[in-house]
Amino acid sequence: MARALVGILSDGMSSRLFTEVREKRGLVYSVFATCFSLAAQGCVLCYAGTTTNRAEETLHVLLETIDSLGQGINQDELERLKNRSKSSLVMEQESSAGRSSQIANDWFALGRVPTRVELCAQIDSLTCDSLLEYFHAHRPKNFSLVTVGSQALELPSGAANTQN
Amino acid sequence: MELLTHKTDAGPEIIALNDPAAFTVSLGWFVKTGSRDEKYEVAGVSHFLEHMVFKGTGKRSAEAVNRELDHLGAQSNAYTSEDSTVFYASIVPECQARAVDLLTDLMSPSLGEQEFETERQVVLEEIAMYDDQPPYGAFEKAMELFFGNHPLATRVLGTVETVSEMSVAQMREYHSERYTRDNMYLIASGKVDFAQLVDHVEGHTEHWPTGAAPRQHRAPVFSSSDVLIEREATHQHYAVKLWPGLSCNDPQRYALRMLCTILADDSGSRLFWELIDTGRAETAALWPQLFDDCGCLLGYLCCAPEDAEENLETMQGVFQDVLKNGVTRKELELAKNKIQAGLILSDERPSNRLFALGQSWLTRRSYEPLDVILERFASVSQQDILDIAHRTLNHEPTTVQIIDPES
Repeated sequence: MARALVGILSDGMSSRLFTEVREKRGLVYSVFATCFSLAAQGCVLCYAGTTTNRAEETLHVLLETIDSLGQGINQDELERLKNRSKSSLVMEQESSAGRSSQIANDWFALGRVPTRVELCAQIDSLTCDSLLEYFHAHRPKNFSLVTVGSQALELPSGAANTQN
Repeated sequence: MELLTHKTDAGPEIIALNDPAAFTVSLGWFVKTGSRDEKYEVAGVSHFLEHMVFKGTGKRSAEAVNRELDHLGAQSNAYTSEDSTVFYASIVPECQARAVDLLTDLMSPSLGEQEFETERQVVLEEIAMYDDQPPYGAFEKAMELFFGNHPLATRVLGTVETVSEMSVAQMREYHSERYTRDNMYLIASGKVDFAQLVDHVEGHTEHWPTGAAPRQHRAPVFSSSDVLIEREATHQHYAVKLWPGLSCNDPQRYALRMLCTILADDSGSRLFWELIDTGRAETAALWPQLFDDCGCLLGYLCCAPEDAEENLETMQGVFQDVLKNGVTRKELELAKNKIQAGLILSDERPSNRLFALGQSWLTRRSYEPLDVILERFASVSQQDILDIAHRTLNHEPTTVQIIDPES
């Protein structure tokens, strides 16, 4: 679920972050969100690189876009995400290095290697409603914000853990 | 695997390396145009245009383009170099027809004013991003100094000035001159439906312009110089060196690649044991840049400022030694195995085969299968390596270094 929501934000050129931050406003060259998962905990990291005088606007759009997940996931974007996920499962299988690292990751995280059929069924079972429900139950909060650059950014009120 | 080609007066050349057993298809438009084909005042137009290609056509808005690519589950991207601009997508075979329609439509972008202005900001952000990442800047400077007034001196990204001042009219002119059906190739690999591919491409490219001015080929007059770029808050010392190299059709290119592997591969090479394994440097590298009429050999060192002088001497010592004594039979064997294994593994993916086929078609209009390439590496001798070392490393290089003025 968490990965699918991050996918809606960041997987593909029609994903929300790419569309809002880069395509519509030209604020960045690179913007993305990604999951870090350990056995017992995990976090989502979100990155945007921009020039100093546009950093504040970029942060604003970034937070707004993350928050927009709470207004709903539309069927078409979920469909695109499913297609991309299933297609990349096929492409991962095309090289020995890709296959072996996939197997090692699965073995480490799950203790077994799920088949492609099983993974596709999992992907197919995702619905807009279930994702929205998950988002509301796990709303992003307590952001840690790190700025690398000449001017420190500040999170709007209600956020914590700011480091520069 | 079977190589299929198709060319009529009605359309661009279509080349496919068909593998019926593959699970995917990779295909792309390879345009024979890059920064070396640009006029000085529009430096960076090829790369900026590569961005604009995704910003909408007569039939599709920019958002529709992105949505459709994602809907196809495509792994797609584009890149621009000194001599080519490439747009590609990997998809499952069922999506071939739609991917070809889309990619082909993208080759006639609207180049609208508003999209142009927004994307200009993205390209300027891209330049700013690289500016924060040395050795970017050192390579570009070294190419400028080394190639002088040769077109290969032009920076692929252009500069903040040229990108800021470029007009959409200049880009349209460049597009109509360079994106012609005689200057573009549709390359495909994997499980290709070739008959359908030919049908689709011909049907969608009838209106494309023909012609394209031939590329300016002239022998570069290489010059060697030594430049120091001072850059505040740079923690490492960066050094870039350029020697004369080879064109991508030069028969000695296999020996040159082996020389680079023996001297500077990122594991087990002479420089690795001297500088990396001992913890003296972060990176020490040497690799060829092959263009269609000439080329250069690049060297790169990144280390702590206080170690730079000694490390550069060590590198020089390694190069002098190979010029004098060549390489051993054992080194030759190891390099051969390493390169061959890398090529075989890379050849597993249709997407990697696409680039190998496309690149060789752009420069030679021919393709050598993997076993032929493996055989060429196998036949390189110790003498071949000594010869190529003399042809390259025995010249005075151009050197550009980035340092912190404080250090």
